Amino acid sequence: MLDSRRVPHVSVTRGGGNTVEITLSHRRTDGWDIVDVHGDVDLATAPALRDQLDDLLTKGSRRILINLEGVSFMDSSGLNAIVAAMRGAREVDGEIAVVCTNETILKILAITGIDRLLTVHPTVERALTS
Amino acid sequence: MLEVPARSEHLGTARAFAAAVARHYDVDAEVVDDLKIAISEACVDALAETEPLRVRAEDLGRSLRFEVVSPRREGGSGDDRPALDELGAPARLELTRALFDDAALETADGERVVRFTVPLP
Repeated sequence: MLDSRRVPHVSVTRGGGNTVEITLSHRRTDGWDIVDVHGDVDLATAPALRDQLDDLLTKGSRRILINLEGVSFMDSSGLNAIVAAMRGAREVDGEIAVVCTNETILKILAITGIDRLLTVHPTVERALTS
Repeated sequence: MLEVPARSEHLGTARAFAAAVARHYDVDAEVVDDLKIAISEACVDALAETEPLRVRAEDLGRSLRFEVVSPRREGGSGDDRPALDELGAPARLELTRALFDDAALETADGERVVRFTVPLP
């Protein structure tokens, strides 16, 4: 049974009216906590993703699927958040996986070798049935 | 040239500037995506300075040269680097170099410059 809970839209507005936005939503399906990420994941917004993943691990989640299909840009700050979550999950015998078909994100996962450390699925459905 | 305050919320502006320049020269979309990453990576280590960081683009004829310029910190220990920094500055430069193989970091005359070129179609 689907239990969809939506995390409030996270946006940060700083001086000068500059707004950086990332949207994070969380749902739980088939034993997985799925974090759907939309927007740009960079140094300004990656902490929000990190906080969401840490919060899930703290609350007992042991299987987290990070859905990057809605991500329009991600740099090493986003990779950092994922790597940090992977380390946290490992400490509690948990599992982190990613859904991603964005060629540029897949490229930087490969360049950094992170794609060898976690499972990358093409769709949420494939991740849930694997 | 673009000059923005050295704060993380301006990274998107730096990326958008570089992408707009590249698109003006009909650079392939995939290369533009790589460029945005390279600019973002180059800007990260320039953040938290009091002086603005600058992104420069120069038409070299067959390529575009991009530079991210920031003041060079004397005696920097790296303690001011972003809290989320599992990969670290050397890895960021290597990531940039993997995208644009002539990427280089130079420090001279009180400035820190990350420089790379994007081939034009």
